[in-house]
Amino acid sequence: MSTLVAPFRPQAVEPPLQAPEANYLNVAFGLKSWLLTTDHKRIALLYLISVTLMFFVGGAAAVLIRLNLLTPTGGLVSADTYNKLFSAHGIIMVFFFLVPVVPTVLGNFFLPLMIGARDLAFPRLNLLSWYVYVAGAVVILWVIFSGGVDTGWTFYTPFSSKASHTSVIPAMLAIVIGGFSSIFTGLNFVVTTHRLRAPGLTWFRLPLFVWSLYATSIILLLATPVLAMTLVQVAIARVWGIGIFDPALGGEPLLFQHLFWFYSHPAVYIMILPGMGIVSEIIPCFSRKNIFGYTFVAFASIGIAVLGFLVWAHHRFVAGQSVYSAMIFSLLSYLVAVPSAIKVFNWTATLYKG
Amino acid sequence: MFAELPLFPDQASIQAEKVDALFFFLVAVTGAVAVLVTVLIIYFAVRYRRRPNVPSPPRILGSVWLETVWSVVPFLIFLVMFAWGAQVYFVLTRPPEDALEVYVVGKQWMWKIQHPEGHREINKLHVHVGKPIKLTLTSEDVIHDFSVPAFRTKIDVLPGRYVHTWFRATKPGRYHLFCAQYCGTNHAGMTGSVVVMEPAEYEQWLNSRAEGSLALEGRKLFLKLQCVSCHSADSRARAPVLENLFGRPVHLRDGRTVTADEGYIRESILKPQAKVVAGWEPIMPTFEGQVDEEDLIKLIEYVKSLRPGQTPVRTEEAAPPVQGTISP
Repeated sequence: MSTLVAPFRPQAVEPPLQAPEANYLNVAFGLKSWLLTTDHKRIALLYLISVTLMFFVGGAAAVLIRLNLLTPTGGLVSADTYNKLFSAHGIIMVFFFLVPVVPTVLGNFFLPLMIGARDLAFPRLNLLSWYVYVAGAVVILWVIFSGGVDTGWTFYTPFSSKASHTSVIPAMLAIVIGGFSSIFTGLNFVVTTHRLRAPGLTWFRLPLFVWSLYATSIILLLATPVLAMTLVQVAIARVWGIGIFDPALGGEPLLFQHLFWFYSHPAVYIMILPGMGIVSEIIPCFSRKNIFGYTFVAFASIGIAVLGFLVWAHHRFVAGQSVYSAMIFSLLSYLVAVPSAIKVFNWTATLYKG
Repeated sequence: MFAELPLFPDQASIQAEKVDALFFFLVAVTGAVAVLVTVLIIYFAVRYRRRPNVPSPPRILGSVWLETVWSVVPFLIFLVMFAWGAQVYFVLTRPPEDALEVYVVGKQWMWKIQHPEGHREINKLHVHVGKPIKLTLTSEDVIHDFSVPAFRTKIDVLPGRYVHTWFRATKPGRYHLFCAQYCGTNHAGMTGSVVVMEPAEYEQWLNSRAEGSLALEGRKLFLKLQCVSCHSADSRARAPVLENLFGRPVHLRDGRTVTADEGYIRESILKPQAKVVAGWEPIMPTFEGQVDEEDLIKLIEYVKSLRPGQTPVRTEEAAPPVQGTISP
C-alpha cells in the first residue's frame, strides 16, 4: 500500500480564488472572435453547441420512431421512411454525438487545464477539427432532409453496396468527413498529453480523466481510419459494381463486418472510456480522498483500449463465422470485462471511509 | 420454472432450455455482483456521510492484495461463463447425424422453405415434435436472419453460401418466425410461423400435400441441364461419377483434399474451375444464372441421394455443355 504514489493530496480548505479580470468569455466579443478562435475552451463551447444540435436532430428521429410505434400498424410514416428514421437516428447519435461528445467538449475544455498546459498542442488543428465536424454534420443533415438513407448505421453489405436505393454514398461521405474530425482531436490529445504536461507532472500523477482521454484518443487515432477505408470500399463497390463484398460478384459480405466492427467495437470504448474517466474524478472529489488503486484504474483504461481492438467479432456470433473463431472472440471479450470490473470495484472502495 | 415467468418467451426446444439455463446463470451472477456493489455504495454513502466534528477522510491509496482478488476472481467466474457458453454454442452449431433436413431460402422479403419430401412452403415451416431438424439456409439477395425466439434459434442467412443450424422442438404449437437482420423496406414484415405438430398430425400433413421429392426434382434438372452427359457412369465419361459422393473426401488437381458437403457441390456447379477433381480436365462450364438457389438445393439433394448404380443412362440427343474445343 505504501509503495503507491499519491497523485495529489486534496486540501481540506481551498483558498477562495480571485477571478481574473479577463477570461476566455469576455476577452473578445463578436462572431469572428468565436469562429476564428483557437482557444481550447471556446472550441469546446463551439463543439458543445453543435453536438447538442445534432443530439436534438437524432432525438427528433427517435421521437418519430416511437410515435410511429404507438399503434401496431404504424400509421404515421411509410416503411421506407421508418427505415430512414432509424438509420438517421443511429448515424447521427453514434458518429455525430456519442463518439465526439465527451472528448471534444469536456476533453477540449479540461485536458489543458488538468495537465497545466496553456492550450492543446495544435490549437489551429483543433479549430479545423470543429470545421471538419460541422462539414460532416452539414452533409449528413443534407442527406437526411433530401431523401435519407435506409441502411441503418451499420451499413451491412451487400444491402448497402447493392440493394439499397437511397443516398448511401453521401451518408458515408459525411461519416468519413466527420471521422477526420475525430482523428484530428485524437492526434491533438495524444501529442498534448505526451509533450505539454507541466514540469513534474509525471504519467502516474495525471488525473484519471486524462488517462481515459488518452486511451480514447489512441482508439480515435487508430480505429477511425479503418472505418473510412471500409466505407470507401463500399462506395467503390457501389459505384463501379466491383465485387468486394457482394458474393454474386465473388466478394465476401463478412469481410465488411470484420472491417466495420474493427472500428465500431473500439468505438464503443470511445463512448464509455471518457464516461469512466468522469466517474473516476467525481467519486474521489465527493469522497474527499484519493481514488483507491490509482495505477490499476489508469491501466484499466489502457487495458480496455488495447483489448477493445481484439474483440470485434463478438458482435457477430450468429453471423456465419467459424465456430472456433467465435470461441476465441468470446474468450477475449470476457478478458476485456476484467478491467471494467476493476474500475467498478475501485470506485466502490474509494467511497470507503470517504 | 422460469419458463412460467410472465413476458418470458416460450421455451419450445431443447436449445431453449440450454440457452435459458446459461442466461439465468449469467443473470444470477451479474445480479449478485450488482446488488453487492449497490449495497456497498449506499452503505458507504450513508455511513461516511459528512457530519460535523468528523475529521477529514483518511488517506487510503489502494491495496495490491485487494486488486488481485477482484481481478482474479471475476476472471475465474468469466472463465466458467465462457466454458459453459462455448459448450452451449458448440451444441447449437452441430446438428445430430439423424436430423431431418429442411432447406431455407431467404429473399427480400419472404422465406421459401423446401422439405426433402418435396413440400414447399412460404413463410411457414411444419416440423415434427421431438425430432431434430437441421436447417440449411441461404439467401438470394442480402443478408437475412432466421430467428425463432421460442427455440432460441437465430442465424444469419448469407447470400452465396450455406449456413446450418438445428433445433429439436419439444412442444407442439405455432411459433413466430422473424427476419432478425435488417434487409430493406419490408424487413419488419418478413415474418412467418413454425408449426410444431404431433407425429400423427405431421404424418397427415406430409401425406396430404405430397409433391415430387427434392431429389426427384433434382434428377429432372440433372437430365435437363445435361449434367449426365459428362457425369455418367459409362467408360467415356468426361467427369467424375457422383454416386456416393456426399460427405466423402475429394482429392483435387492442385493436391488439396476437400469434403464434399453442400457448399462444395454448390461451388462446383456455380464455379466449376475453383476446385477441379484430380484426374479430370477443367472443362465444366459455369451454371451461374441458369440455376437459382432452389434449383441448387434440388441438385444437391439429388447428389446426396445418388447410390452406386443409380446414375441415369446417358442420352446423346443433346450436346454436352462442354467448354473449349474438346470434341465428344
